[in-house]
Amino acid sequence: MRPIKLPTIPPSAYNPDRPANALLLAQARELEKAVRAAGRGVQAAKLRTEADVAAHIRHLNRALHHQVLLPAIKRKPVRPPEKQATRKQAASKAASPKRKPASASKRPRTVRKHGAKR
Amino acid sequence: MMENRSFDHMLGSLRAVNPNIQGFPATFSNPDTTGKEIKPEAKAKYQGQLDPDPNHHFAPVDEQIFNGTGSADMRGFVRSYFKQRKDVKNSHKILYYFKRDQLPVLTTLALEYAVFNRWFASIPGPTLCNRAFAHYGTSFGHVGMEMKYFGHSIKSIYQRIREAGQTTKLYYFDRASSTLELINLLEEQPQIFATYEQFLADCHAGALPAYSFVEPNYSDHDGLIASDQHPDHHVAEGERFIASIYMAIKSNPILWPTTALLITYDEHGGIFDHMTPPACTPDGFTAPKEKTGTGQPFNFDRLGVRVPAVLVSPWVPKGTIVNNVFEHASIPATATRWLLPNFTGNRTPREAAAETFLDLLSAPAMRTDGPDFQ
Repeated sequence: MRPIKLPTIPPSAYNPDRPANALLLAQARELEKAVRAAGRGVQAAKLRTEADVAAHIRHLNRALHHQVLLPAIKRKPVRPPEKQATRKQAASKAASPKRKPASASKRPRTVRKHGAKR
Repeated sequence: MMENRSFDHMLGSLRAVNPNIQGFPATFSNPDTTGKEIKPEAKAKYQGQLDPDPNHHFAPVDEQIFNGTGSADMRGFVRSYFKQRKDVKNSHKILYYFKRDQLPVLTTLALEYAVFNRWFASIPGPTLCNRAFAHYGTSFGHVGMEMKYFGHSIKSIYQRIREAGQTTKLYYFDRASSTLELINLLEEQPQIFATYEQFLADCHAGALPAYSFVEPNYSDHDGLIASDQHPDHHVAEGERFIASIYMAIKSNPILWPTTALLITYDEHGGIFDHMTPPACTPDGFTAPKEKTGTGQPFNFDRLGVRVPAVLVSPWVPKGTIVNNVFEHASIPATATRWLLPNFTGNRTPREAAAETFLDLLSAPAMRTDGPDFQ
């Protein structure tokens, strides 16, 4: 039998800016609860898109694995991950010619406690 | 296990190829909110059509099955979908189905190996409670999106297999997609989890465990397209995902003769199917009316809407059509019967009564004519 061709996928199929469906949101919230129940603080993240949820779930997943594998004394609170730029944001950033010199964006270093609000 | 597509939506077209495959009959229709009878149409698209995501929580599914009457005649899909956008024309899309050539992987495997005419979701409700049946043979009384099942004496199929000294893995796509079972099983069994990438490597090395469960990618992230087929994710990417698993097993001449692959869907996702879900053995739990949203408690005594299910193995006779009733509790039931024939631990009456599918591996000689995908 001749190999059967797989359907092709247009680039437009990929849309991390798509609003997250109920399943993804439920999964993120339940993982948050599980991390809290395991005795580790977690800040609720504002989740809107699939990219938001994926980044948050990755973070919680890693935390949950560490929670199980680390002794309790080494466990640290979990902060939401830095948001990755969405496609739209990335495009608008690229289109903007103005950039501050590197020195202008420097800020004094601050020490942030684990779990402290930003 | 894929996401949220019904049998008639995905495989209904196969009735034209083989009338013994029970796609919707020509007489099937649903009334819309104007009273007009609407028939299924072969207009399903891979993406951009089911907007908003069809509601498939317990109460809306009850409406889809019963249409507000006491008769489970499967005539409430259009009316249920209308409620989400109040658009009559849009509500008809819930009766759209795929042409055979749009789904070359699923339809080819269904025709080449075994297709189940009566594999139903375990609950007329959403994802998580249905997936729980595939892991535990019960959802412990849940009919919604709760995920925690601690404190019960019924163990997951993974725990049972490991305690018997055998190997098992739950492969999720990656850490950003994760698995819905992480919460319940991580603390006790962190070693059962692995990723899709590891699945491919294990297939290549001929190192698959005795029992594996593979989950698709649930979201678009990091340049990867969701492969779960949940509306509005691209259905063709799910086709490619299924093909990748099939080809990973088939390409290893040691694995292929000793492996059976079951492809199924957690629930129908609010999309039409014509076959009335049958009664079933209750699992010993009751969901209160506050949880069902229908004003009635639910005793887990009837199944959810029918979903696609295909069994692949070189030991399945070509063109097998299975007519017995199956549901997701058949998955742990089959694995337990096969790997743990002397199992005496707790399991629900539902799982104990569930049909198993090992007897379908009945070809007198191993087949060498299976299709390849590229």
